[in-house]
Amino acid sequence: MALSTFSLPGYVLGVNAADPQKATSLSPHLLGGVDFQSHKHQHRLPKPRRKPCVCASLSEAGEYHAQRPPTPLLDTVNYPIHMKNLSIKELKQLADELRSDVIFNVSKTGGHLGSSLGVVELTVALHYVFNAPQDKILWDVGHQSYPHKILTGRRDRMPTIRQTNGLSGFTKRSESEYDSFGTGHSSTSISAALGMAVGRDLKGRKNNVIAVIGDGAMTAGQAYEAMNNAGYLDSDMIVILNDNKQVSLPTATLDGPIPPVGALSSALSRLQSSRPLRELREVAKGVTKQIGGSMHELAAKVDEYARGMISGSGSTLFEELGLYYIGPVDGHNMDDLITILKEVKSTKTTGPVLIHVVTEKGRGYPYAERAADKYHGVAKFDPATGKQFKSSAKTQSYTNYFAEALVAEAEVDKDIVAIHAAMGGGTGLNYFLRRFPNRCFDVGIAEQHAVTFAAGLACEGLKPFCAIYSSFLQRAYDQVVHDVDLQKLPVRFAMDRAGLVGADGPTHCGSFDVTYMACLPNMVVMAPSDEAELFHMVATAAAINDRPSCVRYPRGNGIGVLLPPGNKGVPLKVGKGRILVEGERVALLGYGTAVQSCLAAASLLEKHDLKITVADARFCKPLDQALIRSLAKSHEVLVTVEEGSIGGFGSHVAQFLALNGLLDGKVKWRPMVLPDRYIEHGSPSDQLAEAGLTPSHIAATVFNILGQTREALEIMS
Amino acid sequence: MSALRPTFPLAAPIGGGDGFRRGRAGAAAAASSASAAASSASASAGVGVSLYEVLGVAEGEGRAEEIKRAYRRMARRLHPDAAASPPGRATAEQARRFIAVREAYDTLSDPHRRALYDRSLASSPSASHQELDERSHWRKHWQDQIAELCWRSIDKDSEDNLSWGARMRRKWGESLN
Repeated sequence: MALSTFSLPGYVLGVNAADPQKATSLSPHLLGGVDFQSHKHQHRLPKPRRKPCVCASLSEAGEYHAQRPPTPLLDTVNYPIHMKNLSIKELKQLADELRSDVIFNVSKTGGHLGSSLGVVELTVALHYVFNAPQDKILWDVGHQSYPHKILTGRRDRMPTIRQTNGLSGFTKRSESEYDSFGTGHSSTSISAALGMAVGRDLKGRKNNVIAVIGDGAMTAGQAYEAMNNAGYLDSDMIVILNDNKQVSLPTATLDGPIPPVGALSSALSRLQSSRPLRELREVAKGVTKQIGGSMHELAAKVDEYARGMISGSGSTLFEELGLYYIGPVDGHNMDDLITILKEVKSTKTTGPVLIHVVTEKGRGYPYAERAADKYHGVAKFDPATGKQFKSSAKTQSYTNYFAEALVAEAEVDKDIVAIHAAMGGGTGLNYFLRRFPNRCFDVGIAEQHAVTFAAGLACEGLKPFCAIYSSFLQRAYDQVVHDVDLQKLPVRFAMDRAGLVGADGPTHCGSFDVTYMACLPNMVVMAPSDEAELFHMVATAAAINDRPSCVRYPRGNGIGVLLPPGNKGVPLKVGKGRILVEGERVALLGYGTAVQSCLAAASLLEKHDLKITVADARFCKPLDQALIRSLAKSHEVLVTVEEGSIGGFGSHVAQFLALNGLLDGKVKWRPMVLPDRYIEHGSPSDQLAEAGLTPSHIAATVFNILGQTREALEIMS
Repeated sequence: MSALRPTFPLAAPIGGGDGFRRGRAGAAAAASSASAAASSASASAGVGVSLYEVLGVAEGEGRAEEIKRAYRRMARRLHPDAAASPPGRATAEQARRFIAVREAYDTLSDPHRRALYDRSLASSPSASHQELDERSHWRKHWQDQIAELCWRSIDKDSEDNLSWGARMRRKWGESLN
């Protein structure tokens, strides 16, 4: 599933003073913008049968162990090779121990829980039957790979997962030879697996290749492109479809579980519920008896026909693509899984095979099983009670502010609609969905379709807001260029997770959006420096109706400025920035939330008796030419700061300065951008320091340009 | 006639025979559509109800005439246009029942399909009345599919298979010999 983080929808605090009746519930947020879905929806879900927990230390108050239970078998397994001599009974015990290990690890670090719990048995079975790392096992998206990491030599490093210099939260080739492919974005595993299978064939090797992909990731087009090609090439490989009936993230709206979007889910459901017509098989065999003839050939013909009936209408989808369908299989039954995997492995020539495994997200942890969102992404929590640790923050996340802003705009303008790609919680649009159920569209993991769909809506006079993460919009770039910008259709893009994103790392980092959006001829590109500006920019985007526009904002919470009344922003004048602090000699021109770092740098510099100018550009396109001209003419030094790659805001400013002869005089222009390398996952402050964009770095840069290197060193130490 | 194996072996299958060609075995087609109709009729009527019960005739006994009369009787009662009951009342339920009746008649009016259906009832008389556990159904299901995988493997290995994968497999297979 297209992932990121675990920004679950919070409830909106009652900032709307005009409407006291609106129900408010406490929605504390963790720093860094991690929210969590409360348990208040538990009572709406049926009580599942609970698997009895192994071991004796069951807490009285809670439904799970308070202390980490002993894991004798897991302690003997460091690598898959250590599992090969275990009996099936021992493997089941290993699975239980592995499950508790995952729960206790994630309880201390936070991370993705539900999906890992759903695939514990599958992971054990795969490593038991196959021989990684020669056999390639690919985990789509990778957020369910925690059990895999534990079994492949990284158990002792699990406490460092998603932290600076620790394990990645997704699979990563440079981390371990057992991670066959780097993941993070969804639906890439089948493509990569096919590439590995074909590479194996070309080199004459004999290993197995297995891709594990979820039903959510299966909604993306790339999965079909890959299956289509796999069926055509007919190379031996195994695709495991991990079906837990959860195709959107988080797996719940504000009011309860999300019913799966898309037609594929109902097809998969039909597959699960179709009663195999065993009677028909007997009948068909009887028919063969009557017909006589070569039993072998006819039986096969009848079998093929019977299989078409037995499998039901859904499996023909995969069959038509050329994959042999096996299933559905109970994904928590170790015997079944091992039997099937062994059989498929031992069959000499299979071509591409798809094994449909049915699992339950969050299985084995009662709180996760009951939660509407299945504990997809969690903060640190207490294992015995399932309660997540929330630290209070005074402000909400930019995601929530965006949702509020959009709702406020949509209240007065009925043409505003919202589109997202299976990220209702991550984009905050679940809140919009609750308020306007007919005007919010979840297209599944299909960013390309989302953009062109929005273009179509714009043709009909609607005002579509496409809320797609900055890094996921990369998937839809051609659609942005060709279907939206070229035709100058007024589609609004709300790019969340712009800039560095913390624990999710480079796979989710939104470094490139300024570059790839600002180079488009018709696009209006803007970025708010704080949450109030975000409200105004949403209003501005709603007002721009003759060309496309985009707004980028980061992961994280607001800084605490006063919000506009009624959450309704006022449209800004397009192409107009603002000066925040008047000073002299040096001007810092920030774009987006980097402006906050500039203000902090300015106060650092003030301690050294240097009062500088800080300006907020607001727009990268069109640039506020008058502002830049005046800054360049009245200062010795102009530093542009942005949390984006080269080719973005700074480059546009440089272009303008150069073309207007402003670089021919005495002003020194310097850009500060993200470095030309990928910044590894870690805490946001560590990442910013690694990138060299902290207030200290900015202040030190200023001193260096002015020639005051001693002061620069002082600041940096 | 040679003795038939009751189930397909999970071990290596018998060698020989050309590749399977996808063809229509007429009887198999009839068998499949009979049971497909049967299952959907039963599904429409409710689990555990036989087609005879849907039409309201004694099981296995009715001659063609009786089947036809029973169908006409039910249709008159249930058909939306011919319905005796006032319009707008419980029409969805009626429609569902009418579909069940129609499908039952389709199967039972055709002597060949009816014979197949009777045989299937006979071989597992209690199946239609039993709520079997879904998961154990699944197991039987994929066991059959695994069995078929063996057959398919032969097919894929045949010389007629011209896919890229097959060509590569042959190439490496030859180099080993």
